[in-house]
Amino acid sequence: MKKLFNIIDQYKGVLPSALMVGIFMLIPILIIVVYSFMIPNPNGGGRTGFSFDFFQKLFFCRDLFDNLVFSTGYLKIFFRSMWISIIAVIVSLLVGFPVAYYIATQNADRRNFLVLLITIPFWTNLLIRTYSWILVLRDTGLVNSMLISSGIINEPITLLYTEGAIILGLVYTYVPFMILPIYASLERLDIRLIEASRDLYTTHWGALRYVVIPLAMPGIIAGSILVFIPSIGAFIAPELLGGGKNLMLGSLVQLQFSSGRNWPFGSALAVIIMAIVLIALLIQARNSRKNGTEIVH
Amino acid sequence: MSNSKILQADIKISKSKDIRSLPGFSWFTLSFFIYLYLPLMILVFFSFNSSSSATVWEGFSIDWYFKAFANDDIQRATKNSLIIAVVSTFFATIFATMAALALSRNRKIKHKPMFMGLIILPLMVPEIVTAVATLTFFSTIGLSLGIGNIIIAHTVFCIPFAYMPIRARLQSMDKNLEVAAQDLYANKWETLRLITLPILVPGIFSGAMLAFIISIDDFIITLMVAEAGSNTLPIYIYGLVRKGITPEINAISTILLIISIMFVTLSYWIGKKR
Amino acid sequence: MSVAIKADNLRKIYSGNPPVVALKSASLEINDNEFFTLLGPSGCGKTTLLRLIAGFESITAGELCLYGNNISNLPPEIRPVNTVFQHYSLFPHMTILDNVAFGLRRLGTDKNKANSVAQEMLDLVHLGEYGARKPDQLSGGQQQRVALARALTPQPKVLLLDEPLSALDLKLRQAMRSELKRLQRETGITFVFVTHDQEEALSMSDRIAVMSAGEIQQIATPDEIYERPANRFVADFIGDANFYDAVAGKHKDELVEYIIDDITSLKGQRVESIKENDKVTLAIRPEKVSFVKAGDKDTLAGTVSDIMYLGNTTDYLVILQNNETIKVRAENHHNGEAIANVGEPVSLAINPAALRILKK
Repeated sequence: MKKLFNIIDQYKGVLPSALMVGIFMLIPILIIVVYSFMIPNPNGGGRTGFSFDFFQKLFFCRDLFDNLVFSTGYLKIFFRSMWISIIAVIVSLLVGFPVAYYIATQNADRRNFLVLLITIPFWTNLLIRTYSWILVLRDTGLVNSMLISSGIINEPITLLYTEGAIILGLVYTYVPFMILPIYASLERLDIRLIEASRDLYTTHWGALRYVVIPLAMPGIIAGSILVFIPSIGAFIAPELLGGGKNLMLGSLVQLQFSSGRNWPFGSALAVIIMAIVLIALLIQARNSRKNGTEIVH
Repeated sequence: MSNSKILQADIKISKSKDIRSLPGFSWFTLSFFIYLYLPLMILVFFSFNSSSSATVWEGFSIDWYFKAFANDDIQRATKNSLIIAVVSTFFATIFATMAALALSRNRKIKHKPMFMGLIILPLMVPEIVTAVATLTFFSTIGLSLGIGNIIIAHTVFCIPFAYMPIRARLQSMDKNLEVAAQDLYANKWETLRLITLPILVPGIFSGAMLAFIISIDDFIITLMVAEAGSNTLPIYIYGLVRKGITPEINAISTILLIISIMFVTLSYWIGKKR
Repeated sequence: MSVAIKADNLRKIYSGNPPVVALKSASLEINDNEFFTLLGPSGCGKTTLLRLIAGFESITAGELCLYGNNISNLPPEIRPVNTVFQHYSLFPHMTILDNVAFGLRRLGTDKNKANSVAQEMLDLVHLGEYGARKPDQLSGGQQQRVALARALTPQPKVLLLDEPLSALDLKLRQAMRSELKRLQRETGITFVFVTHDQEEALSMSDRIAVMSAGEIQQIATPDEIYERPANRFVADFIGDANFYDAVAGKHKDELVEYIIDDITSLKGQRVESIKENDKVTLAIRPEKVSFVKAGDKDTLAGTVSDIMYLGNTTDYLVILQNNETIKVRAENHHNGEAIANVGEPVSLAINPAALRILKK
């Protein structure tokens, strides 16, 4: 008993945080792992009992005669989520790198100001940021009305509720995650290295190709993973900009816990998202371990 | 003659570019910032539209703000949002400060990486997973405290956001300041009270600001965890958006935007001060 | 003269994997009212020793006494010693006066009394007018003097200074040297000063402890350290020296022939502990070698291979007949002409009294 008190006394500083996160985050995650192996209960929740029901549901569906038929419906959603997330990462990289590079080459005051400009939208409401794109993209929105009034098109083109709109929304919300780590690795880049490469007969694009990009690689990898992780579980962008037509994993999970009332299946999907994220985090941990020491040096 | 020549050469040199600058990047960056801010500006702009259309401009008016303020549902949602944000921020900031102090100053604590990992866990797990896991947990143990449930979920989620700036401040702090205080006859409590905490205040404030924004903006976790009658502002907005687009949404959104921007800027400004 | 600090086989090992031995074993006595310097390259253990005296680190083994009282296990806030930190570590959120009065306030002195003592101390370091400012409104040199005032205000028995001048620029550093000397004289407090700068150490100290690799190599007055270094490390670290391996020969009268090789040998004084055929290292300061006319007795012949002009002196590298190189430092003549040119044959003489014989 006295030993327990000693331990509590010693750890009292971290205990409140650790208990909060442990009880209300770690345990719930373990619980949904358990749930994913349960038999669904039509009233929500799950029944005790072990099953691979979710696994079956991922690949098959029941036809009119209650026979199992191979179905690609859910697999499609899975691959669409992966596909859209990867495209979002690539577009974020293409957009984010030049911006990060430009910011890193400015003087200190300007740099801080531009970084603040990047971070402000990131701290504003995700829902509102995504919603604002509806105003731009819809048939009577900014883009279509500008195109029509300038006579380029007569009929509005469908921009909203497409995969393209989802990607646009994801890039819009998560591109700061790409810019900031790249910026961080570019900011401490020794300018003399660029001078050395120019001195040794590279053009400025050559310096970018052979010096800057290789040295920014840890930032690029970190940024890619930071964009990928929230994209794969995204809910708001597919809902609002995909119009619920182009389902992604996040919406599917939410659906299982609300109208779908299949908690075990929803839990299984959540566990799948977690697994993907875990793999991405492991890649990042290796990335930072491999490059971390070299950069610090 | 020769003087003016030198002058011209000087001007050329002073105009010559930074060796790092690349053609087109500045224009690209400018376009990027337009991309980043234009949709939000449109949203704010149309919140002042006098017609009921959210996209066709018909004249200036602040009617939508009055309508939004007069709306009972919005008032209730705002009240919920504020209560939740204030209470979760309060607890998250206290817990985070304690944890940051313990993890960077208490030598007796073992397994520090494990504790740090645990504290920043909410940052690594996708929100949708956190949301459904919390929902499942609450329903499993049968916890039903109304907005209490949301407060618990938000506190957990806000801890790492409050923790990061406090920890950053602690780490950038000259460790010798505390050593110097002890050298000058201050005991542990005096050192904490007179040196560490006063220097830490901007970090704590910064962390509290971020926690507050995170809580007030949170949507997915609240959506899953909220029980009937404990709607927050984002949930209410989402409900409206699904029904159709009105300038009223723009008005509420603008208010939320302003709150967030104000808090981030304040947090940044305080963090920058020594 | 009483002893202020007595360290007996002090040892410090930092736990870790692998553990780091920062201080192997240090024994020394620092006298009351002395300006004592710990001098050595970075990583030699001098800062560790200082931190052990201050109480910031726990002692692994050994004993530490302050005026006869064992203080080995006292925490820093109990020890009547104060520290001036390398980067000053002034409390950024307090005014200068509050900083300087901090120690007295913690000791329980009431506010008015503490402030008036602090003000006196600020006057003493010529910063009387700056009490209301914050540390970041002061220049580096001023912050340095505030740090001194802050550490002196509680009137410690011993003041510890951890490379306090290293962050200042050259001119300021030189000015602070005499300032520090003056403060030490006026307050009568024992100063323990840590530095890696030999010039600083030689110019200010009453005595110096030269440290290397966690051990004290020599404790002596500045001129003794320079003229009679105890070993090769000290001779090499302080000033410049030529080193040659040699074997002691037979002694004639008080002089001994030290044989470097078949064709070269040098005459030096006899050392009690060195017998015939003992292996030794010879150390010769470059300025103790002189150019002489060819044909004189006991000279070394060689050829100048390189010349480095250093302002008031010039260094000549001379290759001797046995192909060893010797550095010779000569004062420049008022007309600035070199004594010898590259490629010129020269003769050198070394006064036997200037030859330092170090046991291997």
